Amino acid sequence: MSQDTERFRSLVERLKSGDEAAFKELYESLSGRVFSYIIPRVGGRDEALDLLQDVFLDLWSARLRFSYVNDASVWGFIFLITRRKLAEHYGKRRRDSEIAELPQDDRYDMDIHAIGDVHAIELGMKDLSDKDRDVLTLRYWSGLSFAEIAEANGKTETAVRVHHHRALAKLEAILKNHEN
Amino acid sequence: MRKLENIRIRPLSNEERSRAWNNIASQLPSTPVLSPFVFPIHKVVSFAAIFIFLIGTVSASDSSRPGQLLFPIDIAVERIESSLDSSSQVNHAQERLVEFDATVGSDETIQETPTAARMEKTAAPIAPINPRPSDVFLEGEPTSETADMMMFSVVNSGPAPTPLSDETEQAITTTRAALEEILNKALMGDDTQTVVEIMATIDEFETKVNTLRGSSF
Repeated sequence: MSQDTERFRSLVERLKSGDEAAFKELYESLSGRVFSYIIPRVGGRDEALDLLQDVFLDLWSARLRFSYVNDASVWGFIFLITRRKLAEHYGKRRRDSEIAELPQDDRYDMDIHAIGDVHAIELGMKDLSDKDRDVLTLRYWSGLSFAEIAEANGKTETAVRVHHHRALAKLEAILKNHEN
Repeated sequence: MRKLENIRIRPLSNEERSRAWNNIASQLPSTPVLSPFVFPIHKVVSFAAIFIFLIGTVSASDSSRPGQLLFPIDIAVERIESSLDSSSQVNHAQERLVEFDATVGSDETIQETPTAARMEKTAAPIAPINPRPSDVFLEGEPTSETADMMMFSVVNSGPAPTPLSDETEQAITTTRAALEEILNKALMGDDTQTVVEIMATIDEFETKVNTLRGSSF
């Protein structure tokens, strides 16, 4: 992310002044990873796309409240909005008493057997704490490096590595439990 | 771990990215934009409420009298007026006098009791404790206490001063202080006529006080 520093700084400044072109450029840069972060937490691609739109609309509304400090602050801000939108989404689903739909396979580029494994993992991850789930999602779904996760969460890389290791151990134990 | 590393999500396609962007862009104009010149409605309402409250308090304080809760606000507002316009000092002094009259006028003891009756009222309780000289000397040498009493009766051979209510005493103190403050300010200026008029008002006030106390000194 550090190579984008100057570009991000400039884009954020232009975004704050209401420049839609800068907003679109930011969207092009960030949307892929935000989408990857959302996808394992929802039932399908359409749902994820709806949430992606909401996240960026919120980013536009909140742009005056954001100040660029470094690249990590951009990722931190966008993931903060994403987590809030996901929490609202879950709350709405609970209020509407919707029966959770089975995850759709269109989220993954994998064969049917491998997708079965992913579904089992997703089920196991529901028993993890939010923080544990977060670090694994950022690592394996969004494809962020440990350094990038550390930047986005305002932690050191070592702390993220330790956290990641513990989260994996917990997930493994949960999956074994489920198999039994 | 290996299973996790093998996860391959289907990335956001260009078509999906464009579709989502089109939806976002279509909603942007309706997105409220914070402007430094537009305040949120709750802030406007709060400011309006505070403004109305302050205006109401200042207006109400104008008719307050010494000793009342809003009287210090009245004085503060007049201080500001005086600093802007020195000619208002005479008006403020006269206003103090009017307020004093209103406060004292509401004191039933003073208002309803004529001066003579008041003197009788206050003299009556004193009379029995004034020993006649014959009583004192019949029983022996006068003690220092009885001598004091005798001295009191001699010195206060005229009508005794009328005790005023606490409210009236408070009004006298407050009004006197306010008038002195106005006079001091006027003395710092160069308008002799203003000083003369304020001093006349103070004289009038002191005359009223002396009348209330039932004495002419």
